[in-house]
Amino acid sequence: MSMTSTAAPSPQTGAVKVAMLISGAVFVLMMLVGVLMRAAQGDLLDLDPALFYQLMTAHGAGMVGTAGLSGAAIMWYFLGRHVALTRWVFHIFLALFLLGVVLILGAIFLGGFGAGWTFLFPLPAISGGAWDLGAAAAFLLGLVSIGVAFLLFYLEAGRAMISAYGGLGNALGWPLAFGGSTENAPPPTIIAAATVTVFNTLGIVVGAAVLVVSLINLYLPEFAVDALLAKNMIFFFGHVFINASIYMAVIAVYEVVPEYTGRPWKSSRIFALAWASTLLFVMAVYPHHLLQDLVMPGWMLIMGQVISYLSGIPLLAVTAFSLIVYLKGSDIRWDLAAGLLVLGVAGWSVGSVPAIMDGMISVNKVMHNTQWVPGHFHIYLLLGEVAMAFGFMAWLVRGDVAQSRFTTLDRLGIWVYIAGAGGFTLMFLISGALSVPRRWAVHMEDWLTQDRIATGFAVLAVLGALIFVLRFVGGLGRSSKA
Amino acid sequence: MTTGFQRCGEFALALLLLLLCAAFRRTLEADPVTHMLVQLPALAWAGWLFAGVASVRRPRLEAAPTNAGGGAGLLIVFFGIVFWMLPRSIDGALTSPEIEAAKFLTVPFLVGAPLRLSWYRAHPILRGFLLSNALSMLGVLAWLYMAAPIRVCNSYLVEDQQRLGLAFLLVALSLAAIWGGRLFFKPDGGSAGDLLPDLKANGSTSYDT
Amino acid sequence: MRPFLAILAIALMGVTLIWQVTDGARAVTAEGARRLHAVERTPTMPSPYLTDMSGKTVRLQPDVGGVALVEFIYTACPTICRYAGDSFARLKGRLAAAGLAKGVRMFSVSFDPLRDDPMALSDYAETHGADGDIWKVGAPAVTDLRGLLSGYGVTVIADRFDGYEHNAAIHLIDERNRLVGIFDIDDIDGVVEAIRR
Ligand code: HEM
Repeated sequence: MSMTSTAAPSPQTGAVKVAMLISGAVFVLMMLVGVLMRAAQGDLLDLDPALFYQLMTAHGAGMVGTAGLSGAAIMWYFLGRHVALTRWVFHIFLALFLLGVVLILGAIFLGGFGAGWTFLFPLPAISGGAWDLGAAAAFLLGLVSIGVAFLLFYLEAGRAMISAYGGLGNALGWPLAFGGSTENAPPPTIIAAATVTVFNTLGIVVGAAVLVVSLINLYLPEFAVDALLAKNMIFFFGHVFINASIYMAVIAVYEVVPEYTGRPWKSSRIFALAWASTLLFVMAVYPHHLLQDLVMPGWMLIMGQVISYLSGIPLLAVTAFSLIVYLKGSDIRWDLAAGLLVLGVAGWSVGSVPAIMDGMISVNKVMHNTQWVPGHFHIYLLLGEVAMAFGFMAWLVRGDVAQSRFTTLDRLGIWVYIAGAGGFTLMFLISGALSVPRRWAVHMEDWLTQDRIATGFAVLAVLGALIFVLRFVGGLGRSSKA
Repeated sequence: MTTGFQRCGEFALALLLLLLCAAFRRTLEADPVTHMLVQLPALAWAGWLFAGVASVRRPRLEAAPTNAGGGAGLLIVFFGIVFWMLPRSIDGALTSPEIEAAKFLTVPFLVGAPLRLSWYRAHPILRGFLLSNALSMLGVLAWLYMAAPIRVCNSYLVEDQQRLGLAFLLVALSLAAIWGGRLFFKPDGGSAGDLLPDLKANGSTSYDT
Repeated sequence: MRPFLAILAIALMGVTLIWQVTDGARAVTAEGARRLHAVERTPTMPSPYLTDMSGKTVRLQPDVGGVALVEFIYTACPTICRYAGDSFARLKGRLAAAGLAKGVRMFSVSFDPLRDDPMALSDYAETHGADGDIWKVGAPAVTDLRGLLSGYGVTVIADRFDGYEHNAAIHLIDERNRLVGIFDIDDIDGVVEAIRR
């Protein structure tokens, strides 16, 4: 690893801390929104359905966007250890991201927009009078702004990696994966960052096209477009984007865990192959989503789903397995950061089990919109990506490694968070298995007990998260020293 | 380095392109696919070549401080392209000789030429941004033209419009493959930091800072 | 500073230009512009003589103090012109029911005068129920055709099946022979509403 490299690339600690502060704050805020929604479903709270859908739109868009933001900040920070990045790009990234957030929040809470974060075509245009054209346009423009932010981010990341490694192929570790050549093998961070850069850039290019078409359709309705195609593209784009946020966040595991175990995380051939297969899986589904005929048979839809679920499995397996190997036999000194990062990998693994079940056993559940679906993605987000982001935050302000301690408050935070998030997501799965539909503002009498238990767990999860964020704020003056 | 001989060749090629576009005007414009994807690009290419030749004779052209970073020139290109992407303009070129004449002037000199004078001065991130946007926009056009239930040009059949949409899609996919491919496999290793610098005629990878 | 000012100036000019040529971002297609201009500029339309389905000569213009509805067709048309004929028939019924039929003249004008002789025209009239009184089906002289179509802004192009494709619409002409509105051929409500005013 080139932490002592002479090119002296240096992470932008200040800007990254700002990004993580924003992420932490939004995570907690949106979790509170989640609690409100769950409480409303459990009839503990009287929410107007229109407001429920506004909150759901804000929660979905806010969480997915913030997962992306925190993942990107992690990737930027550690990428900066290996290659020379142009600093202002990250500032523009943050500015455009915030602009997008402002536009989206305005659309939702001033304009009353409530079509859901997936802006499912042609929903934005059909409001039944609940919101006007301006609100829908502001929402879409907000997404465009965030899209541009990420595009610039990946362009710079790609540029820097191409110039350091001579072509994306090398940065992806292909000579290692397919030729077994360990000479000049890029570190795990580069392989991960390059993979995400490739498919998310493509994703953004496609997503931008959908957004622009939706905008045109808002103002020139005579340009009607095919709703099924739009839907598939949006789903696919959303799926890729949210997965990418985990792939970026896991870089923190590759970079930080070695500081605890004392053994560097090396790019093995299996490791490079796992990332390559993830990339190839994702790329294989792209043309299928782009070039399909206007009407797509159901089995293709399902295949697409299955493939995108499975795409991350090899990668996950290699990461989780290596982590276990690295941890075993090393006398690691646990603290909040280490605990949360390991939790992140565990949550990511556990969260994909229901996803695999979706794909392999009961495909129906994917299609039938039950709470099973929010169940599985909340596990791998709440206990996966978000846990990794909190872990990275704890590490950022950990200060001197020798003085870092695992305080009682830290332990409490972790256990409360695990119990809360675990129970909350389990309740989603249970409700899903009992065929409770997702995206319903008002629930039937029979479901209320589940909803209320879930609300209780959700409150615990928020408490845990609050502890992490407050610890971060308290430690903002410090920086981590290995 | 461009030699004098090469320069003459480029100049001749540019003239030839203009002449061919004018001479085969009717044939090219009879079909929207050749109109949009052969004639217009050929006109822009002619302008690109003219600007290249001109800037060898007058190096100041390429270093104009007003166009530092290429922003000003690229913005002209942007508006030029937007104008010629309006279905109204294309219809106009077919029905009004003035608009048709304007096309032969503006596409070379407000799209091709400023592109040549600005592209290499632009920051690599700006270039990458513009290229990605070009892909997105081609996709948008493809989608609209293939799916729109209305006829966007009075002068062309709906069926031709759909063919044009498909052609846009193919162009977008090919460009994505070509540009992406270059980024994957850089034969010359080191200098690949600038997104697609090797478009540059004289091989240097500098840009305005 | 200089590049910044240049960019600003170009942006201003560019936006102005695009704004101008799209009528304030309201019309990006030629058809959209034609419709917008009809409402805003009310251009005067040519009123050539037509040969109608009974071989008589009529002028393409409203009665004194009345209005005219004009659509362009060719009788061999397998698709859209039949649809246009149907919608004219329905329109006639609606106008009669609303008591608006009195001052209204309806013209189905063929842009294929070579093939559309009075025989063909009267077939078309019969199929669709054109009475020859309120609703006439006619064709201009070949020499008038060009001026007529360009005056209305109708573009006719040959398709691959020995027929034509054209921008089909219902044109509303006021008593001074000005084009005051263009409607989709199925927008019967819009037409009735406009005549009522
Ligand atoms: C304590 C934490 C959280 C709570 C209480 C919570 C609660 C909820 C609830 C009640 C729903 C609606 C479920 C339904 O369809 O019936 C929902 C949907 C959703 N949540 Fe969460 N959530 C939490 C954390 C997260 C996190 C961390 C993320 C992502 C990083 C996330 C992303 C989403 C998404 C994408 C949706 C789908 C919205 C839609 O269907 O349009 N949530 N959440």
